[in-house]
Amino acid sequence: MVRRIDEISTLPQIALKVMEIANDPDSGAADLKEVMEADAALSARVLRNVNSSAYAVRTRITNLQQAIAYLGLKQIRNLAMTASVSELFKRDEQIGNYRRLGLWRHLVSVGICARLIGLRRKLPTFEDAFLAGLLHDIGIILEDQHAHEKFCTVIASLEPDVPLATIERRVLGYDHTTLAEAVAANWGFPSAVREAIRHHHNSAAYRGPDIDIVRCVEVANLICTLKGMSSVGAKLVQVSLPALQGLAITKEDIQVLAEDLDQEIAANESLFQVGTERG
Amino acid sequence: MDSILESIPDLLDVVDEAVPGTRALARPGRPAWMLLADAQGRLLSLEEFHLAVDREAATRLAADLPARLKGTSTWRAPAPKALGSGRIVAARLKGLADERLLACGFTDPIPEGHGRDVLLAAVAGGIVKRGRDEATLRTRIDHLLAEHETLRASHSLAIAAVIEEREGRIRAEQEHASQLRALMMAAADGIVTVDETGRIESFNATAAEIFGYGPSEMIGRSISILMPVPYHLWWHDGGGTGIADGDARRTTLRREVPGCRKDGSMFPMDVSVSEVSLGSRRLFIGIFRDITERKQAEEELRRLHMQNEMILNSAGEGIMGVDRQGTMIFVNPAAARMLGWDVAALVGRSMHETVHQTLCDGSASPPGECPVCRTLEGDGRSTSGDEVFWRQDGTSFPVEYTGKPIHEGGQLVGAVITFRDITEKRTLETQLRQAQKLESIGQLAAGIAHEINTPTQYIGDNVRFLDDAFRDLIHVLSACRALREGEARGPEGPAPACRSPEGLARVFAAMDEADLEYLVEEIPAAIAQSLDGVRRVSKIVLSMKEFSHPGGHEMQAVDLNKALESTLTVSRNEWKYVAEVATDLAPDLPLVTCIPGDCNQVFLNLIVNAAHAIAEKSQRGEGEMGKITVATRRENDGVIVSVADTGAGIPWAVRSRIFDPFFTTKSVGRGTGQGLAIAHTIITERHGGAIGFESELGRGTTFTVRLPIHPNPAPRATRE
Repeated sequence: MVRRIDEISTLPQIALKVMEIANDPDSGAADLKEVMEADAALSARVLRNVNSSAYAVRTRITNLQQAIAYLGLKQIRNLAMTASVSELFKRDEQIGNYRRLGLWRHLVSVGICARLIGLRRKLPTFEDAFLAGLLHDIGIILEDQHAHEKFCTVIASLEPDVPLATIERRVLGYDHTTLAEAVAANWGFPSAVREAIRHHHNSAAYRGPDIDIVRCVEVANLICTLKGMSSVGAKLVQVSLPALQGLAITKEDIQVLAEDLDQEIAANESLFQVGTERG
Repeated sequence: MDSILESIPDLLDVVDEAVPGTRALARPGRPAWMLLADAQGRLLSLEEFHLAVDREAATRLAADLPARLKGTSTWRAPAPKALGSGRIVAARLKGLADERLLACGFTDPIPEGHGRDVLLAAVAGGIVKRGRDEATLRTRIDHLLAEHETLRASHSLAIAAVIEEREGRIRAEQEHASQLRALMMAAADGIVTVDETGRIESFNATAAEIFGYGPSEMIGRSISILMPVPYHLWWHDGGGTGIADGDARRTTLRREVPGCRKDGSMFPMDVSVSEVSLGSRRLFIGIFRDITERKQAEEELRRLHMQNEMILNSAGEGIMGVDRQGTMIFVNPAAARMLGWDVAALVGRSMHETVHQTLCDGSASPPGECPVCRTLEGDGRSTSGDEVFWRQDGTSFPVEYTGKPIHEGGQLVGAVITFRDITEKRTLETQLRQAQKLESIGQLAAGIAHEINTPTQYIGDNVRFLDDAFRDLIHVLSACRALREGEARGPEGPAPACRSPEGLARVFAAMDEADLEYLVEEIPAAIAQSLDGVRRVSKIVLSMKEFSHPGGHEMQAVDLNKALESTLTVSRNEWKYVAEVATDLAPDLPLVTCIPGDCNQVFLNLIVNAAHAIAEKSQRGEGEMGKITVATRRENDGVIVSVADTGAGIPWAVRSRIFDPFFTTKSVGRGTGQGLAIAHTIITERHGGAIGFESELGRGTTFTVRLPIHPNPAPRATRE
């Protein structure tokens, strides 16, 4: 499977370009605007997001240039990536407890939550935390799409006490973190995103500059799973003490975050929309 | 940043929605402080309200807040002035439906204590109402403050990025400006920028140099100091016809105007002006170049050109320039006048086709044989004296022209043809020749009169003798008749005298008296002599006729021997007293095609000159008769006529000039100096022959004329 990574072109080309532009320090708003304008549906959806209640824009924003000036490059990048990735979930399907739209809800929630944690832990890279959260379980949808039958086996083999990755390795020979990390490297994702994909179940194994983001994603994953927004329907999640300690997150913090997450998700409801059709 | 500020929701709207009646409290122009809290008593914002709510209302709201917080003792209403530094520049409020504060941005930090207390109190109010525990409450407050701080830091970063970008842009612009400035300063032309009112804003070193000003002397002064009135006015010519911002427009392409230096001296300069619109402002950029030297060069060139033009225009000769193809590219007024064309109409036409297409005899002149055209084939200089050019109206005139090829860099590029209308010259020549002929005839007249007089005299004498002789014979015959009448009457009549021996005796006496023998001898002699005299007169008259009007001016076959004899006859009186004439005329001489009148003229001139030469020698005391030998012979395809005399010979000093017109060594009245000149013209130009002489001082001179039997090419007809 890993050998076929080159053939995986699940992510729309436009998403890859947006990613590339956003991570290139020499690129600016004009480049991002140019890339996004090539996809009218994408641009329309991003503008719709920008004009949603989450951003409380008084004057309606009607073009990408305004949007980028108002929200900044990274927020627009996040909106574009969200819109692009949502394309993967257009066809809903349920396999056991697993639903594709459930996974999508999990991804966006973890993104929002990771950003919230970043904000409150004063991480200047809180927008990157969103992207890392959004993409951390991309491996699962890849498995679903490219190794569907075996993935079905994985879902069917889920046991309450066994982590998903363990079953994946047993059935597929790899798990969604290693698969997605390899693919993400191929797609040129920024390192923080790749590390979050790879280590979002075990940040303690990671030593590197992006540790805070990895931890945010791990904790966000924890919170979302606890709140019932899990990836494949399983409730099992291991509490990572090193991550909580690393971010100095206490029990009260988790309680407050969990509470405030509801409001945050409500405000960002437009992000959960699937597909970029005009509506 | 502007877009962000603009996008901040109008606080008043938000507040009015949350706390009905707030808007009603707003009094424009009365700044007030205001605390915003939601229905649950949670703080939404802390504002310095500029237009909005009066202080009283704010105070009331502030005072009301603690009551809503139900005994939370940490809140104390802040004195409005104490919050004076908390000026909000950016705030992002969620809709009130969400009932929470998302973020607040302050340029100055909220004064420590106040803001924190307010937040604490506000949030605590909300939480307490919901009945949460203190630890979570504090955590939430920490979270909110941290989030607020993170967003504000991110916001500051964004602002810093924007500022950096703007500064970078400004730096780049400054760099660009300094580059432009360097370019302007380094330019070889003077550059001056002028504002709409004509004030000089900047100028470069070259401009200062051109106008003689110091480094900053020109700034702020009117452009009119550089360009005297009224020329400076044209800065305003262009008008403000909407050119786009940043666009440049050349209002006036270029102009040459007088410039004025600082010391007041004037000089010619070349100015081009561009108009640039910068925002609402118009700017003029003038580029100046001192063109004194160029002007001088132009003036010099113009002068030279004028001079050449003048020379060409005033030249009496026609001058035409033709290019390689024979097309006229230049024609001077004299040429156009002579040809009856406009100068402009001639230029561009083929020279040959236009003026030289036909020969004087009306036949076509093939370009290949046209000497003018041959000039263009590189034959070098060509001249001709016997051509005609044709006018526009179809008439022609005789010309003398010179064609000279023009070479440029070794390449033949055309030719210059200079020509003169020689109609007048021809007329004069003709008149002169006529005069000379008249002179010759006049000169001959006396001699001829004499020649005629001599036979006339003896014819007269003879006739008188015959008259006498006849009278004598009448007497004899009367006696004879009387005798015969007596015989006839016979016996009846008396008339003895006649019949008588006395009658016979009377007859005999009359015969004796008449000297019959003498008469019989002399009368036939007198008659013969008279007839001879008549013949001589006839011959002279015939010769004169032949000499003077020998068949017009057309070429015809002429027996030169006969012509020479005639000439000798009519000129007999000129030579018979000084010389004997010997002729050595070739009997087989072919007829020569020539103009007989012209040739007779030549022969006469030569014979008369020979006689004069001998006479001159005789007068010097060498009184013997000279000899003139006239000879003809054939030589190849020509005929040689020679006239030799035994005269004085031609002095060396004048030998080279004897064919020049008006040159003569003879005394006044004996010659016009035209004889040999005309002879030369007739023989060489009209007949294609040659004339020359050999002379030996004291021994004599021999003139030799060579005439071709068939002149080739056919000589042109003369015009007389």
